[in-house]
Amino acid sequence: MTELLAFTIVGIVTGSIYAVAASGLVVTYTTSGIFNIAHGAIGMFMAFVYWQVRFDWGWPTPLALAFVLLFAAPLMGAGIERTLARNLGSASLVSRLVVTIGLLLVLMGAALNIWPPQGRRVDGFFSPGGFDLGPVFVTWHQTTTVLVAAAVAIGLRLLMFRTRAGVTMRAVVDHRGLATLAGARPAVSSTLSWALGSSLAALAGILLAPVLQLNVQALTLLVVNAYAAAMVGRLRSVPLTFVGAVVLGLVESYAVGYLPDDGAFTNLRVAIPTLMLFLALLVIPEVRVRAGTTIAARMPRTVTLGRSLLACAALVAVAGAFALAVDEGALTEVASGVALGIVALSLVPLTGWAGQVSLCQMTFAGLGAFGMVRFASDGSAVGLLAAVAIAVPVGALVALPALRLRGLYLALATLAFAVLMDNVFFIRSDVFGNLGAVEAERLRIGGLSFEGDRAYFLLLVTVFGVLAVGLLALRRGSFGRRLSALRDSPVACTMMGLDTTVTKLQVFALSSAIAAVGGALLAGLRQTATAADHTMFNSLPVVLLAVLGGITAVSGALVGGLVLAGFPVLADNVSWLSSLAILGPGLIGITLARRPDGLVLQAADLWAGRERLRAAASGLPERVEELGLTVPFEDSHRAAIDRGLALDA
Amino acid sequence: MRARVVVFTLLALVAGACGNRSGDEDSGEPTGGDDGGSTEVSAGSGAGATDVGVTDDTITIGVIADLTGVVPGLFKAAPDAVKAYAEMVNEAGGIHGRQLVVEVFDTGTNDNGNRLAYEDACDAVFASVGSESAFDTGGVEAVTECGFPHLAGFTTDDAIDELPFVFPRTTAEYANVGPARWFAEEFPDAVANAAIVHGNIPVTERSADQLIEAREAVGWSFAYRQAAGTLESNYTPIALELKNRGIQALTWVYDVNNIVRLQKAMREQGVTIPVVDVTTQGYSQDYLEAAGPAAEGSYVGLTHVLLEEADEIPALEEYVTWLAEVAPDEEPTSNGLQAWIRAEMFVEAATAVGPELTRDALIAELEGMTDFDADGLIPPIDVGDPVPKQACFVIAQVRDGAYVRVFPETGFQCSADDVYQYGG
Repeated sequence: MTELLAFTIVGIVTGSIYAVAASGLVVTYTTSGIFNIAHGAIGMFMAFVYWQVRFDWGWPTPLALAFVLLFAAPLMGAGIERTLARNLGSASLVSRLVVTIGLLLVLMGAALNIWPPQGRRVDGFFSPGGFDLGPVFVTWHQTTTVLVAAAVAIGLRLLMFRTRAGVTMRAVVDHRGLATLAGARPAVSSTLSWALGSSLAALAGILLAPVLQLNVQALTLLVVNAYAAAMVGRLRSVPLTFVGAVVLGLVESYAVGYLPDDGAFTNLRVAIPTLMLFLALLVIPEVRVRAGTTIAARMPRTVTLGRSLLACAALVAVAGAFALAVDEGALTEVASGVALGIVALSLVPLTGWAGQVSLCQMTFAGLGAFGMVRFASDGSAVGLLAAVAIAVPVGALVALPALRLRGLYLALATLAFAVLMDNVFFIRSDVFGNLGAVEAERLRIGGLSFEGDRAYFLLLVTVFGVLAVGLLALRRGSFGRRLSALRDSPVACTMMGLDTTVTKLQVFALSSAIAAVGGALLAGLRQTATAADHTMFNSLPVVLLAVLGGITAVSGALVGGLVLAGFPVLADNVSWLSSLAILGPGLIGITLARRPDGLVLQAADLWAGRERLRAAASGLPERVEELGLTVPFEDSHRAAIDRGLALDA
Repeated sequence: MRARVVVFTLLALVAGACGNRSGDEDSGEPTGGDDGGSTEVSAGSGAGATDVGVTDDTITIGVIADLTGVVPGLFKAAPDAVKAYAEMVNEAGGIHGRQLVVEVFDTGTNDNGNRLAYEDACDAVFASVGSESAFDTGGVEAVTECGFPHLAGFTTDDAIDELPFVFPRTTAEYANVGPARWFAEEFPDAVANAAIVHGNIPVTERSADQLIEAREAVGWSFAYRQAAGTLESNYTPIALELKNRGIQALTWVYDVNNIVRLQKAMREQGVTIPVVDVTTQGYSQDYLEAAGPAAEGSYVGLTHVLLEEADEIPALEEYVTWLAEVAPDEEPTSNGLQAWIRAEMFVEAATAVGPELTRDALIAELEGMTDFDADGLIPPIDVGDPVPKQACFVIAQVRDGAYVRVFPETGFQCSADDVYQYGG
């Protein structure tokens, strides 16, 4: 009985931490319409800032807290809002995700550079004291956490429903235009909500840092656990989020106490937050779907079979010439780019053409690598078959939640899946060995071996070309049209009797198969298959760079892959920016909001001079600011409109 | 527009920087040929370019380490230590008239980068000295094919251990149970009720299995074993379990971050365990800094001298002073010391070989070094023989925030009985 009490108390404390993290997320979402994936990263960054001022520079605690919570964090939030989020209100889901994921990576990379890993001591509040509560000693820090979480939950509820500022924030998200007419100032309100969200993230980070220690990955990832709690609250209700968070904390705590100590159960224990996220996503009724597109990138023109084959042949020819001209060392870098391009290619039919957002492509690539090393240790083509054979059913399995989920929820489900696989599958010794890395052989078809760097490079290019031609052919057929229909309007599909279920299953299976092939070949290129290459964090840059290249264009995938492979090379030469491999993709991600089409389509437009033509033809400016008005819109104008509409000033 | 500018700038940087992917040369100052063994008046051995990485007046050695990437600066201590040693040697005239040049190769903290780094290094340097990477598995084939003398600070893949040109030869079949036996003799009741906490990844699971086997052979009895995830959200439940079971001795296989969290949780819950063996992971400033008072009383068993005893051991003093020359912001660390020791091993062997320096000659010389002790930094070892003839250790404890020697009074405690073979 005392044991139960002990674990219950611990569970409530853990839950409070999740609650603080999750409620900030909910606030940002309800007041801006943007699910800020970088929320945890903001908290992590601010935790480091707090350490810097409080423990490194020795400021007194109240001053340090005020600095971080009332100045630094709101400033960062406002800055993010002005530079990034303001453009995102009407942007597609993919744009929003790409920008927030980019922000996540930028913050992580920046933190790793500014504060290189070393031991940093962070003490809890009022530590080391505490009091005995039954069998458990509860520290003052833990007490503070619980009280703060409760205060946050109550305070937010009051703010959102009882104060003008809070109601305005919610109104601005619901209908910006109406709110403006009623006297709200959306810009100010927006800035306030992001500032508030950042402060809450910072608060969570500061409360967490003494518990988790100052570790970039740990602090950022804990918020992923908090997503489960946020989902229970349906991304809307802060009190329910609190409940979800406490439930999660309790379950985790009881698991330590009551599950057997055996290794297999530890992995289950570690997976509890992601399992709960899945459950919440599937069981909790979906929030009213916000009107808006999943993906705004336009589709390129269809290409005839002849032209695509010609392009493929040209690609292989150019690659051949390139391979002969360049020395083998540099060739492996470019080859990496092509292999990553194959993985990025898997996103083209899935996200670009069918509008299904997936954040776990490297997980499928990992399954492909697993198939290759475990079923064809000599590198035979059987390995590729095994890779596909493993990935396809898993892809279909991931598609099952997709049937029920859409947009953001689907993206989060794939994220949770990736984290689950990291914790439960890829760390197993029978997957990637005891050390998390297994030797991988290069492909061998029949008697033909592609051992050499040049041969393997050409193999990669050829495989990419063949897959691209195949995809383009699919797109020309009925499958392509069904994907387009799915992307444009799933509702209309259902109305017209189009079976979205089968289409979704098919496109997920196709996508996972392509990613698996990419993963198998990438492992062969590197001659090692490692668990570390296929974590959730690795999937994020792939999405970003695929969107950069052009997520609807097969050649965009190749461009994206090559750029992604360029970062480690760059990092070697820019040694003072040691986390460039993370920072680079992140920086690219945050610039992608205004240009959803991607490089390839923009280049094509430039080439055809179409950009000018299109702008001239549409005649409509994108933003009011571009109307060429020189007179600012002020209160007097608003008053005039009110009079005109016969509203009292 | 902005995206395009960003990308093209980056690509331009890449294109402009190609061809110099991993070079980071750092040479010592040539001092002008005072070497005592050569007939030349100016710097130069007179023997010419006798092998890869060797010229008439230089020997280029490579340090392959995890320097940039997801965990920046992971093993920065290694190249710094080797550079420090090279400075010291070059100042004294070099090796038979040749100056020691250190080239650093960055693995990017991943397996693929490890492979690429070794592939690059193979053609550029004479030998790998003091290399330290957690991703040796990626480079196994590259190292095997290369065959250059590989004096690694440590190895993380058994396949590398088995290569005939890796020194000092080690094997995972034997364990040093000296510290475990000392704990058993000093605290017999405590070790009878012991616990181990370890990570839930295969390599730490396997290490934990081996640790339990070895210690139970000398009197420990493990009553509780708990695996913890890397991102364990709360260590209080585990601390409570330790308290509930009345555990008196604790050890683990994990990283500093999680060790600190566990000890802090233990301190909060008033869990006092007399024998806490932090293992070599805990012998670092990072651990002491992060754990603060929670580290008080922790023990560690080391197989090299205590870094705190620099004023008693001249060779250690050299490491500390020359490191301060080369990398003033760096602290002396265990990893750095291992790299320094490898550098000394290399220089001793190369000096013995003479001006006709080839890879094969160096390997033969290292195989014959049966009594190397790095001037007292480590107990004497047989560099060429993987099977240890004796196991040595020194015990230290955290007192007032710093490590203090506990046993033996000076030097090392050595015994052939402390060599334990797994599986029997």
